[in-house]
Amino acid sequence: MSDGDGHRDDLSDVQWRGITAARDVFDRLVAELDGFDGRPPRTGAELGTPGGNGNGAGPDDIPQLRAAVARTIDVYADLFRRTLEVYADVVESVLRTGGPAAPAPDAGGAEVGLAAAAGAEAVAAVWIHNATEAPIDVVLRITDLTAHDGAVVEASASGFAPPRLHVGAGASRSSELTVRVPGAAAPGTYVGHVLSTGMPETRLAVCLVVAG
Amino acid sequence: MTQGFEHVEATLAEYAEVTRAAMGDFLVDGQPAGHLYDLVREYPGRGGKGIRPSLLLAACQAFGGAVREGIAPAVALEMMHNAFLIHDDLEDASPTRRGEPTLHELHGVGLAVNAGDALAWMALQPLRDDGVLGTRIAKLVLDEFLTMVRVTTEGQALELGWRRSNAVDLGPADYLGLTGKKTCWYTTVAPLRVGAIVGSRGIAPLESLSRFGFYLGVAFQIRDDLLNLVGSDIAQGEEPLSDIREGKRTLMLVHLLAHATEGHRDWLVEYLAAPEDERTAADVEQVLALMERYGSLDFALEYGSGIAAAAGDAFDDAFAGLGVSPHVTFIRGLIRYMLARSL
Repeated sequence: MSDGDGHRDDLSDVQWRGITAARDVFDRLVAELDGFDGRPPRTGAELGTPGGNGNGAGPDDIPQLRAAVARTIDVYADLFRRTLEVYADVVESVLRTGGPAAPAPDAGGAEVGLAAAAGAEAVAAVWIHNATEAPIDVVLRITDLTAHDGAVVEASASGFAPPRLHVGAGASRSSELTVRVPGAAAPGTYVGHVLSTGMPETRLAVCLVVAG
Repeated sequence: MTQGFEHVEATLAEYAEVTRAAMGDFLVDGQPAGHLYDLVREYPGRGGKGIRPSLLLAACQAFGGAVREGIAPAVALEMMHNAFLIHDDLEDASPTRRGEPTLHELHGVGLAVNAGDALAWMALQPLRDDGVLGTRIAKLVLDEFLTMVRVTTEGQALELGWRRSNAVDLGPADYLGLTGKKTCWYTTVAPLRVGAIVGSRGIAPLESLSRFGFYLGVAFQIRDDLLNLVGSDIAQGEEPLSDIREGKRTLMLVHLLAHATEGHRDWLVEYLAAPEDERTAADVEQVLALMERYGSLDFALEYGSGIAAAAGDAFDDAFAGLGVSPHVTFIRGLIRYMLARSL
């Protein structure tokens, strides 16, 4: 029994005619829909179900397992897509306001890009790469971020999580830099540096774009 | 409550309530309220059994999903259904809907048409990717809705065209084709497909579900058409014998046209060719009498019962491999519930 034909011997002639007509009309309708916008009605086979429509093809828990796997993949695919969209938005915002694409000469090229509206938070990862052959302990701090007209986003508005890093020889670690942009901050580009004890010769340029 | 179907009716009521509550987020408020937004709320506020959202939500859970995932498509479906009804009532010149005057009777044709347009627009809002379904599934669901609207409007055009051109050389297969498009797809097929897509994250086999939905929908519609002639649908707000008065090409009428003697057939064709407001109550009763005389009612009852039996077999095929769950049990119960109304 694969298409609901009923049991012929138990049916009257009229009932059987109804069943066969319904089966034929359904098959015709599905065939007609094959041409809809070039998008055929999806069947198990098109979705990768083993054995065509896959009904009863395996143990009871297989469909649930496949659904769970598909759900997990969808979650990560969406997360990945949304992350890329956020990144693209930040980059676009920076480019439109002349951020890292046209850095101030003394910024040395911003290595940490941030963008947010006044009153909001901007977050970026700061990576520490230890190219030496000995482990180091690093305490991160940030300078005031200064605009061309002297406006300042003070260092106290920023923080690292974690603020201390132990970086093994040849290893890399990251810390999350959060800048809470004051509500009164004027739109513009603010620059400064990330400094660290333990790596006195290293500084990372920071460029914060406060959207207008 | 219907004897023997208490559980099905209670579950239907729960699904309908969940859907109605969620619909409130999408039924827009604003001005002009008296000429638009109040009208949009009119039909959804009159209730209804909620068979479509219930089928969708039950199928969603049967295939491993949650109500939280299926509720937005269920709301969209119910809103689209109500939008269809507004225009359908106008196209059929129906005076009542769910026991009260139709929207065009209350507010006039222009405002009713516009309210139907607005409700169809609002119905699309729940289908936006809101992060619950994710991009891939949201797109698949939207595809299903696009197909559903296209199929349904084609079916409606087919029926209206038959009446306009006074089509009389029709067979049962023509009726099934019409019903499959006009009613089945958005009443049973699409709810099952969308629910399965959401619940299974797009891996469920859909053809067997569609076949089950088609058989169930056709059997239900034949029963519904019979009830309009010999049942007691007045309680549900339908006008008895309205199908005959409107010249609706039901299975009974198609059978009668094919089996009546030449004299009776000629009279019937002339009756169908006349404008609806010229068809008298005596004419309508005469058509019903002819249907009884030529066995058209018995034929439709038997023909539909065969398809109902096929729906039961198709159900087993469609839900094979899922194991027993309250949701599968509910859908199985819904088959009997939809087809068991007494004549």
